[in-house]
Amino acid sequence: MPNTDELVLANPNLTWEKSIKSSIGFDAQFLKQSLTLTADVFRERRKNLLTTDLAPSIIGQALVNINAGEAQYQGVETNLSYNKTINKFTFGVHGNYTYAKSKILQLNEEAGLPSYQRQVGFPIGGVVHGSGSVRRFLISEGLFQSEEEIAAAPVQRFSGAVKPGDIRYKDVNGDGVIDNLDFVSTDYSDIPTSYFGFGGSAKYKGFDVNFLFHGVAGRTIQINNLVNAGTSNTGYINQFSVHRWTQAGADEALYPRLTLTDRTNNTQNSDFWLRNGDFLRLKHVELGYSLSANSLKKLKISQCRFYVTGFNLLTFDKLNGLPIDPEMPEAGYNSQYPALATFALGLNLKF
Amino acid sequence: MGLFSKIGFVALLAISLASCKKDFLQDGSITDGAITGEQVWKNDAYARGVLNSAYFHVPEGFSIDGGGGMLASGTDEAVNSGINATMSIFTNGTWGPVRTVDDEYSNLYDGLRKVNLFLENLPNAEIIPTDGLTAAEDKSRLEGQAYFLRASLHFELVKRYGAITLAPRVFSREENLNLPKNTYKECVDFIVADCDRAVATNIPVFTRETTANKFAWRTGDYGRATKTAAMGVKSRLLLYAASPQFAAQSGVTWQQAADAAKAIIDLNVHSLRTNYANVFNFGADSYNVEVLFATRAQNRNDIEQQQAPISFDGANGRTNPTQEMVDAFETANGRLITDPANTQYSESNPYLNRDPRLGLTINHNGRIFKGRAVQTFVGGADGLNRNINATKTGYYMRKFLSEAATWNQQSNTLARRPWVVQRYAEILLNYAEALNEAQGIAAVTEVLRVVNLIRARSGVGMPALQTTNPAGNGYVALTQVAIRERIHNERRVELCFEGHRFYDVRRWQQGELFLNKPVTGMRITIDGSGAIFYDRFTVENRVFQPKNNLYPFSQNTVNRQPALIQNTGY
Repeated sequence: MPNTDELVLANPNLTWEKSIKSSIGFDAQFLKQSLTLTADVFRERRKNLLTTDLAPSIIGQALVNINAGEAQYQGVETNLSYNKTINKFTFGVHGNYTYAKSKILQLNEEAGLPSYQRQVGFPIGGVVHGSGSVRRFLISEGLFQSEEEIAAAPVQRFSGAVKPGDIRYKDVNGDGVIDNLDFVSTDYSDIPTSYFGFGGSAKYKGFDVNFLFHGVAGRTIQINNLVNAGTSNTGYINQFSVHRWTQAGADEALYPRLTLTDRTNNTQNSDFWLRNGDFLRLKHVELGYSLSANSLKKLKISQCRFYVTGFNLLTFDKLNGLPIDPEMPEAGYNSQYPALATFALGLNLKF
Repeated sequence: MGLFSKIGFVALLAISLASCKKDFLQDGSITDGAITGEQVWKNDAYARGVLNSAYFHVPEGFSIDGGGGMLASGTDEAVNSGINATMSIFTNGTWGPVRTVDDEYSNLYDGLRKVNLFLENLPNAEIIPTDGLTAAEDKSRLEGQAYFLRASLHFELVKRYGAITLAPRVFSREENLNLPKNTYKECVDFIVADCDRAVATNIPVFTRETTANKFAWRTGDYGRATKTAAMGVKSRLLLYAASPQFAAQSGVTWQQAADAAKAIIDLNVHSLRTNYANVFNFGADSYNVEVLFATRAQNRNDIEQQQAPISFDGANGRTNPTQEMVDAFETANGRLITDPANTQYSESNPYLNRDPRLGLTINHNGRIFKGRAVQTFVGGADGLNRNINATKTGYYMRKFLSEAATWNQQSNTLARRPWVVQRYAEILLNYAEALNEAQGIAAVTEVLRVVNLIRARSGVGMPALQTTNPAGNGYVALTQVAIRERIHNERRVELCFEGHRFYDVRRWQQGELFLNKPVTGMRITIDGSGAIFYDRFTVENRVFQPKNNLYPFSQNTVNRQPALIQNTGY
C-alpha cells in the first residue's frame, strides 16, 4: 500500500534569530612590552531563538520550531602574558581566564507546568545524560536504611517496590507522593562557567622547559550512566558494584542497592548522581636539552635537541577519589576511549 | 488547495512508495521529494495514500510496550515475565499522569488528522476509479473507509480515556487548540454517527464478499474497511456505553447495544471459523469469515519469539496466564470448576477433561507445542525460575502462536498474522450480554442459543448451556444473574488475551473485585517416583483503585492542553 504522509507543519511566521552584541575591551602592553594584558567584557542578547512548538497533540501532526526563546550571554575574557630575559635566562608566563554565563529570558513552556519546573531564568543547557541534556532533577536525601524509614516517608512511585538501600527523594510539592512532579529545574550544567589556563616556559643555557595547565570551574557531571551501566544479562555488574548498598555494608555504601529488576527508582535523574566537574589538568609539559652549537660542528649537525614530553600527567579534581576522568566522565567505561597519559622521548636533529 | 490557503498553513506532503508503483501512478508524476498539498489531491495515488497511511494508526495488541507486553498482563488474565516490564505499571499502583503505559494519545490524533485531511479534500480530489466503478462510486467507497477509521480511532481514545476532545475536522495551528473535552455522550453520538455514515457508503458489506457485489474488495484490498467492521465498532461502543461504568453518562440502553449487535448477525454474512487457531493465522486462513476487522497482516515471527515458552529457541515467554485465567475454563461437562456439583475436575490432574479452548490458548505443563511437551514443572526446561524470562505463573500463552513459525535460526520461517481487532464471536457475545441485561429471562432462549453457537464451534464442542436439567451438562440456573455470570465467563474464556477483559472488568465495575487482589500461579513438582504435585501459589500483589477505571492523560498532554481536565483521581 503506498502511503502519503504530511511532513511537519510549516510555520509561516518563522524568522531569523536576532542577536545584539556589545563588548568593551582593551589591549595593553607594559614594561617595555614584556607584559601584555587584554580584556574583553561581552554581553549578547538573542531573540527569536528557535524552540519546540508546544501545541496540544490533538493537532495530530509534528510541528516545526517556533521563535519563542530569548536568552542572554554575558561574561569576561582576559589574557595576560609576561616575557623576560635576564642574561642567559629567558622565561615567560601566560594565563587566560574566561567567565561566561547564559540565562534564559523567555521560553514557551507548557501552560500547566508547575513553577519549580519552569526553565526561564536558568542557564541554557543541562547535564548530558545519554543523548539528551537534563535540566530537572529529583533532590535526593540519601539512601533508605530500613523498612520503617520507608513506611514513614512519602510513597516513591518510580518502581514497583521500594526497599532499604534505595535512594530517598524529597517530596518537593508536598503531596505525599514522589513522582515526576518532584523534579525541579536546576542550574546544574556541564557547560563550565569558567575556563582557565596558564603555562610557562623557561630557557637556561642548553636546557628548556615549558608546561601548560588547563582547567574549568562551575561544571557538573553525572555518574548515573556509569554506576547503573550494564544489562540484565550481566546483572548490571560493573566496576562500581562493590560500593553498592548491602544490609551488612550499609555504612560504607556509596551507591544504592544493586537490583536486577524494578530498577527505575534508582536510575532516575537526581542530584544523587551529580558530581562537581571542576578540574585542573597539566595538559602538557616538556623538558629539553640542546647540545651547544660548537660541539656539533664537527659532526656537521646544526642542531641537536633531546626532549621528554608528557601529556595529561596530573589532574586535580573534586571527585573525592572517584575513579573517573573529570574531563570526560565516561572515558574508559562503557565504550568510550579514555584520555591517555602519554610520555614521549624525542631527539631533534638538523643537518 | 482552497482549504489549505484559507486556514493559512503550508502543508508539505511526502510520498513513500511501496512496491506497486505501476498500478497507482497513472499520471507519471513520481517524485522523491516533498510535494505540495495541491499536488497530492491532483494525483490519484497520492490522494489514496493519505487514507492508506491512516490505517496504520489503528493500534495492535501483540506488543504494546515494544517487547511483547500485552494488555492481558494488565488484568487478571496474565503476568508479564519481563523483569522491567512496563506492563506492571497497570497493576502495581503506580499508574498515573507522570507514569503512563500504552499512551496512544498522540498516535490516535495523528491518525485522525490524516482521516480528516482526506475527508475534507476527497470531494475535489482527482480520483481515478478502479474495479470498474465510476468516480463517484469509488469516492463513496473511499469516504466510507475514512468514516470507519475516524470512528475506530475515536473509539480507541474513548475506551482508554472516557470522554475526550473530538477531532471532527483538521485542526489548524492558528486556532486555539486548548480545547476542553466533549461529553461522553457527545463522543458516543459522534462515533455512532460515523459508523452509520460508513455503512451508508459503497464500502463492501464484509471482507470476503464476492464480486457479485461490484463494490467488493479485490484480494489485494482485503483488510480495508467494510460495513460489518463499522457496525462492529458501533456494537462494542454501545455495549461499553450501556454498561454500568458509562450508562448514566451515555444514556445508551442495553437494548440499543443488543440491536447494534443483532444488526450484524442478521446480515448473515459472518460465521464462526471451524478451526479456532486459524482465526488468527492468516497464512492458513486470511481474512476469514469470522474476522470483521484486523490490522495489516504481516509475515512475522516476533509473536512467537516474545511469547513461546523459553526452551523453544530462546523465546522470551512474555505473557504468562494466571491460575485465575486457567480456572475460568470449564470442565468438559460444561460446568465451572467452582461448581459444587462438578465431579469432573481434579485438583491433582487439573488439565484433564477441560474445555478444549484451554489447550488451544494456554501452553500448560505437558501440552504439546511444536512437537514436544512444554515443561513448566520446577526444574523443567520451561519451569519457574529457569531463567530471567521463565514463566512467573507456571503457564505460557499459546493463542496467536503459529507452530510453523521459527525464530533465532539462520533462516527463519515467518507466518502471516494481523492483530484481529474484531471477530464474529465477540459480536455474538455482545448480543447475548446486552439482550440478557435488557430483557432478562424473557429472552433466555435467544440468549443461550447465541452463546451456544460459540460453545458448539467445531473443535471446541462444549455442551450447550441449559436451564432445565440441574443434573445435566452445561446447567445454569434460570435467573438473569446466573446467566449474566455465565456470559461474562464465556467472554472471558473465548476472547482471552485479545484485549477485552481489561475493559470488560472496568465497564462491569468489577475492578475492585478482580483486579485488586494477588494473582496466583501453579507450582508443579515431580518427585522421584514420577508423581506430579500441583500447588497454587501467589505470584504478585495487584492494586486497583477506582481512578484506574480510566487511563490518565499524560502530564505532558495536560500541560499542553490544560482545558482537558485530568481524569478523576489522577
